[in-house]
Formats: sequence, C-alpha cells, structure tokens
Amino acid sequence: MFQISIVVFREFLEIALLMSVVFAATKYVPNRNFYATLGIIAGIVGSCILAFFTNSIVEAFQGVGQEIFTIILLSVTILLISWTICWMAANPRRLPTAIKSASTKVAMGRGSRYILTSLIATNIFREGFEIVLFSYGVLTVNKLTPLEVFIGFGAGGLLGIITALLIYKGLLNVAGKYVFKVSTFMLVLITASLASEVANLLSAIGVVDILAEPMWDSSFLIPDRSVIGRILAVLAGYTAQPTGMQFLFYIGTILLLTSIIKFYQKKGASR
Amino acid sequence: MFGKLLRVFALLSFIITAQAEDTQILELKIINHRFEPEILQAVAGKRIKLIVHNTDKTVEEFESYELKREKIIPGGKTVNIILPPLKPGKYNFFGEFHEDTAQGYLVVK
Repeated sequence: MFQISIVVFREFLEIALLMSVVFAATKYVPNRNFYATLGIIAGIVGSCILAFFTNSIVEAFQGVGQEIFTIILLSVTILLISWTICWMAANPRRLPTAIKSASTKVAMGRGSRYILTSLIATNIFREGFEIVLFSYGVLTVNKLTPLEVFIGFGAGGLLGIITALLIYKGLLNVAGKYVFKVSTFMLVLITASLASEVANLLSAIGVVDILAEPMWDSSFLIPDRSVIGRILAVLAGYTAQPTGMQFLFYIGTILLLTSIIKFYQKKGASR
Repeated sequence: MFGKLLRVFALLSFIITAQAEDTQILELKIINHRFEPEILQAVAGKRIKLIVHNTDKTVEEFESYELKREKIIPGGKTVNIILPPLKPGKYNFFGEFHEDTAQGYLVVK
C-alpha cells in the first residue's frame, strides 16, 4: 500500500518545487489564489484527459509520440517560466515588509495572471498524467482494496503537498525581501534542467545523435539514486553523467536567461 | 546546382540508412512486474533499438538514469526505445511503478 505513496510522492515532488517557487514569487499579486487554483484544476482535469489518451499518444509518430508530446510540453513550460522570470525582473524588487497594507500589491495585468494559470496547469500535466496512469493501474489490479489504494495515494499526495508548503514557507521566510532574487535563481536552474531534459528527448527520438556521450561521471561524489542526488535533480537538474548535448542546453539556457533578465531589469529600473 | 543537391541528398540518405542498418536490436519483456531477461547484452559503439513488451495488464514506466530514458508502456503494449552508441559498462534500468521488483541491467561490452 505504501509503495503507492512513494511513487505518488516522487512525482508530486517535481510538480511541488516549481509550484512553490512560483507561489512565493507571486505572493503579493492580487487574486493570485484564484488564478492559481484555476491552473490546478485545469492541470488535474487535463492530466486525466491525457491519461485517457495515453495509447494514442504513445503510438503516435511511429512510437515516439510520448517523447514528442513531452518536448512540446517542456518547451511551453520553459517559455512560461521564462515569462515569469522576466516579469519578476521588470518589477520593483523592493518587497514590502508589511503584509496587510493595500500598497503591497505587485503589478500583474489580467492577461499575465492567465499565464500564471497556464504555467501551473502545464506543470501539473507533466507529472500529473503519470500519477493518473499509475493510480488507475493500481486500482484495476485486485490485490488492494479501493480503501488501501486511496490511503496509499492520499499519504503520498499529502506528503507532496506538505513538502510544497515547506518549500514555499521556507522560501518566504529565509529569502525575505530577496524573495524575487532567490526565486529567479531557482527558476533559472529549473528552466535549465527542463532544457537539458529536452536535449535527452531529442536524442530519444533519434533526431540528435551527436554529443550523446557522458562528459564526466560524478557518481562517486553524488550518485543519481541517492537522496541528495534526487533532490538536486529536481532542484537543479543534476545528473551524474551529463551528455554534451545536455550540458550545452543547460548552460545555454542559463546564459540566455541571464541576459534576458538583465535586459528586463534595465527596463524595470527606468520606470 | 540541382546536381549538387541531388548528390548531397544521396549522401545523406546513405548515411541515414547506413545508421539504421548498423543498429542492434534487443528485446525485453515485462512479466509480472519483472523484466525478462533481467540482464541484456549489447555491443559498444553501435546504436541500440530496445523493444520492450509489457505483458502485464497495467501500465509500467521504463526508466533509467544512466541511459537517460523514461517511457510509459501501457499494459499489453510494445514500445521502442532508441539508445545512442554506448561505452562499455553496466547500465541499470527499472520500472518506476514497481521499483522493488522491476530491475534490470544492460551490459555493454
């Protein structure tokens, strides 16, 4: 029964991190909870729909439909996160210390708030449909009662939500008025790690065969399977044996985002 | 100009098909949340096409950190996993939804 919890929790973790950082960064955006909840609901419903179409997706494009679909999903997520990063860079970074005053609102136009919704939804799709598939698979096997499945799923989900809350609170409390800087830093790393996943997927569909060899092996320091390894993988895309292509995409993304951030910071400062 | 393009196209087709011919094909089955065989053998330096057939009724996710692949395999379905030429070594893979029993190794020599 708790095998289920472990799997569910691990999938949740990937969603949780991005959600927590985005939530922390948008704490003072008016009606943020409404748009975020919209995104969560859309994400859950979307994951169920995607799970339903799994067979068609997997078999599409001569058997690499899943990879192509994930590439598209990741690219959209990368663009949405980049937008969020630019929004943070262009907005005043002095964050109010008083929480309840009306002047603590941070500007985000209505259209932009739907970008928040989309970001949360696509983030949930990515791992959500795996969770749905997994749960459905567990339910159709008669070894466990529905109650046991529910408890197993619930425990994993709860653990995931608690972790997300911890990261969220931790970010707000530790970063304080530097929450934009810290969130930006974390989002840049997350985006770079998503980009390096795209590099892998391009290799998986056979489009890119060059730079496919690992550049080094840091398993002696931090193995992929270790707890630290997995945490770093979620936080920053750590892999013990990065391929040349992964490295290229990762560093390239960081460089690109950093220049874009500088551009928007200048724009924000001149307001 | 056209003649040049034709020659480039012919060269590319040759390279692409030559690659395709130089692919080793391996087969893997998932039976009762275990891999069969649990140890696969392959030759280094040659592309690999790994055909995985999930004979179970429920979905499994084939995953490997070292091979950098993650693929959902619905119950009863067969998928292809393409791997680039690999260096000699032992590459672990597992079924993410049944990690306690679904473990295997690809040994490349």
